[in-house]
Amino acid sequence: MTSLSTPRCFWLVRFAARETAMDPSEVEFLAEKQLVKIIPNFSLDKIYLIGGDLGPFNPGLPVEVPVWLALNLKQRQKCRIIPPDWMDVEKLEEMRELERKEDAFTPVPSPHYMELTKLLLNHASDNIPKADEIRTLVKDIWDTRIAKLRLSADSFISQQEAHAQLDNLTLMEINTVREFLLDSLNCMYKLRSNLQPGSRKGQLTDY
Amino acid sequence: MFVTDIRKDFYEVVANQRVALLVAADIDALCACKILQALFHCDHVQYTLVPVTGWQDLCTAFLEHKEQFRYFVLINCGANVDLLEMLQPDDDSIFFICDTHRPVDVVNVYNDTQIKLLIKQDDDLSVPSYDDIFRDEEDEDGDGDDSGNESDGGSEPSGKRRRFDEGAIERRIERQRARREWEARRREILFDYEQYEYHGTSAAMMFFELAWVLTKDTKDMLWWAVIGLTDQWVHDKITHMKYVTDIATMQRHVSRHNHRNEDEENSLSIDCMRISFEYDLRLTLYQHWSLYESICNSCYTSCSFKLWTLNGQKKLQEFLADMGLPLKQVKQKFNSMDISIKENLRDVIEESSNKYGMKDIRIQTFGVHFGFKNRFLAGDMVHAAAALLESTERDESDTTDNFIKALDSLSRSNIEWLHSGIDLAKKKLLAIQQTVASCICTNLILSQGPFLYCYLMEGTPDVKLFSKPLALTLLCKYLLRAFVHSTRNKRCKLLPLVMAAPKDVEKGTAIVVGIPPESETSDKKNFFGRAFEKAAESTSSRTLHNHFDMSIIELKTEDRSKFLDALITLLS
Amino acid sequence: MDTQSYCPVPPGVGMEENFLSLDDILLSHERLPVRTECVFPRLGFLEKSSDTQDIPEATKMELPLWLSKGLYERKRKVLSVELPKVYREGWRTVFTADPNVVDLHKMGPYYYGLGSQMLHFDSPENPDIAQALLQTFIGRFRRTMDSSQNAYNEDTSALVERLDSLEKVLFRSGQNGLNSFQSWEKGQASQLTASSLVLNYRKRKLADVQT
Repeated sequence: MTSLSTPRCFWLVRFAARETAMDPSEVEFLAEKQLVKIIPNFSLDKIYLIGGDLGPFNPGLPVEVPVWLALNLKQRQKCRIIPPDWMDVEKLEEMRELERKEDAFTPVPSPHYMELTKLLLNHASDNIPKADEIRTLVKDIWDTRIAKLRLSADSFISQQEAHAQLDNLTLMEINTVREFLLDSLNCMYKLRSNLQPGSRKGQLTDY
Repeated sequence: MFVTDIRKDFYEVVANQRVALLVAADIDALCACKILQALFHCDHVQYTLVPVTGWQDLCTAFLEHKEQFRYFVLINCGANVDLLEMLQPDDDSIFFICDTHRPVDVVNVYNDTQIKLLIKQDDDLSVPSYDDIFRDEEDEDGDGDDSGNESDGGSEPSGKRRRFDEGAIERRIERQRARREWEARRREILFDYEQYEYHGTSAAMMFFELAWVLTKDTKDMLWWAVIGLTDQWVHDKITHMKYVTDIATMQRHVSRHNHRNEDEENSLSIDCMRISFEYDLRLTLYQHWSLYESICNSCYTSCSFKLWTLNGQKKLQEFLADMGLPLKQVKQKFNSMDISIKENLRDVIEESSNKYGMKDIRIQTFGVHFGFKNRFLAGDMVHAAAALLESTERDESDTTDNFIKALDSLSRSNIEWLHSGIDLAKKKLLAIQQTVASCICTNLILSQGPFLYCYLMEGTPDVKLFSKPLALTLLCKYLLRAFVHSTRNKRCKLLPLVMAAPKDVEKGTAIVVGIPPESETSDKKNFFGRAFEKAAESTSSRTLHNHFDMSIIELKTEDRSKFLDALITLLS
Repeated sequence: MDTQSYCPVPPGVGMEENFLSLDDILLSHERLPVRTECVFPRLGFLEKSSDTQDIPEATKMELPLWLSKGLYERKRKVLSVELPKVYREGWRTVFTADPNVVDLHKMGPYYYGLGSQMLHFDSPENPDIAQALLQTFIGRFRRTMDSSQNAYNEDTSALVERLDSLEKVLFRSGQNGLNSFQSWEKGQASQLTASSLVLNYRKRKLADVQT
């Protein structure tokens, strides 16, 4: 039988570039555009950048800057970072309880809450009170939401829904299941289209 | 000249320049370099880091970089020679020297333009005064004319006139006599000043103080300063007194830093670094080893028990029994020991040690911890970094690689390297302990009259390890201590030790190290540097004074005996 | 981010095949039990069990999927294709009872793919087959998802063992998402490493120096 191999094998070339999910560090990169308050210890006039104007910086006066700049300044010991309002043990505890109670996804404090937590806690943990508790709480919230996401994905598949709403989901959350979910939905779509007979005739004449 | 305002006269000068950092290969220099790098990172100062292992390296590094750089920062090298004479730099090259080596060369001290010494003047320097060693140019010129060719005196009419003056001749003779006297005195002063080599305040501490003045000091920097200081203690460079004083200084900084977070102490993240003052055991690496192995391989305990004898081993068992620690616990990893034992382990060991005559088993030091499982003592960090720095696992040519690795192991983000350094350090300590035991048991240490002498034969196990200066110095220290504990000869206990080990078999060279006598009150001043120089000179032995410590030299193996004879006559 | 120099073409699933998909190519070599409906002249050498020159009518033999598909025509009966065991009534009931207990790798490993391809051949059971395929997939989905999203840093061979090749692809993409997230969370993503090209180049240079 081997002598009768299909001619297709000779046509094997790298052909399709598959759409893949973003890398988490790319999502993190996007998160670095979020604003955060810092207290600088130097003075500098307003600086004008393509992405927007920054400053002016005065020692002791809080100013809002993107996270990437805040971290750079922090690493060079030129500022103190003020954690965002939501990065607070009590608020996060409330949020965690709510998230556990509700079946649907609850609104998150920041579209990049996971990335910001990681960035700020890793590089400026000395500026954030109760950093360890915050880390645990955010991770709890994340785990709860991911479990929910999986549950809803399963019910979505088993009930063969046609569309789903992704309200209140963050980019990072979607990103972790994106590849898997999309591939699964594609498969299911194709298996479902098997159910509709009729296109079969046209198919056969192709060969 | 000495820099008095390190911020204004050093940091602000180099802050907008490109700087070449020439760093010697010892742990204190590494730490100082780390602190300076962190500061440079804060202010975006561009620098090039060049590790140098000896004078030759320093010269090549300078030649390679002198075109591109005006400012050179030398860490733990360069102070104890006439640097301008050695490097022959252009007039606009400026050298900032932060060096623990003493005595500082007088030319370096009194050069105001190109040599800037980042050295604390309250260190016990006792530099001779300017007038005692330098005469004004005018005087020198006059003298030169007088003693030189008489016939060209025509250019100086006043001298000519004086020549026929009886009184003038007398005055001249008088002056020549005064000059001879002055020169004799100068030689004497210089001899006294340069006779002994010793070490001053750690370079890392100097740069930490700079960071403090700039209010940029962080806990990481503080920790590096502590390691730099501990290095001086581990490698026996400073007196116990100096160590205790400097520890007290660091202690003040540590409590200042801890105080800063006190109001929210319980909220500081576990990932943040915490430095704490410890009154800890003098057992090397015990937190990363088993207690038993640490006791066996620490200099202090193994010498006190004389563990190389059967009796010593017995005594160790008794000691362990006295503490009430089961062997099973003692021989397993320290981390896995019962919590109940670990709780007041230090007190238990101290109590029993006192009974066994080890009065100061505990020492003031610092520990650091961050995260849940990372705990390190300053001394252990020194051993780990030194082991990485002189790792012989790979080729000789990898000194730069080793340097970078050792440098990186000091950062918190490279824990794996630190751990690999700790493993290497264990191997090194084991090797040292075995070599000490075999040297003592086979009586390899010979009394040569003015000093003790020991030669490691080619083919001794781990001999390659001891071709490196830090490792050999450490071996010397351990060996001398062990010898002092084992010998009955009272006179021998007070002698210094010279040790030689093969360095390069193909080239037929040996590395020779001399260390001062071992005693509680030792001032750690080392006269072997000058003595080696003189002995080599008088016998025209082929030696290489390449190391920044003058008391570490390289020597052709064939010249060993005549060099030694000269050294004996010189010192008797 | 790992850049793959080779991106495999995914299988087409369903009734269509993906021309360049390796999986589909392998799938097309699956053998089907067929029964010839007419004489195949001079093709006797294909049928090793008999010595005749031709393949006689009503011979039961196995032909690969691609050949069966090519020869099959509804109007003129050349051959008739029998359903493989797993798609028959008996197994279908097993699948409906609990799809999770079945070892699809042993059954398939192209259970879904071959099943969909079977729909090309007229059979009264076709709607049932299609339905069974879909329900099996849905029934096993939760398990595939959970195992792929929870198995971090462990040997996944036991989990993958019983999966259909299609499910394996899904499992892998689930693992990708999980692994890249975890490595980001642990901060491994931010560490710069030397490219393997550079490392190899340095090694080679050293070797050159030594020789």
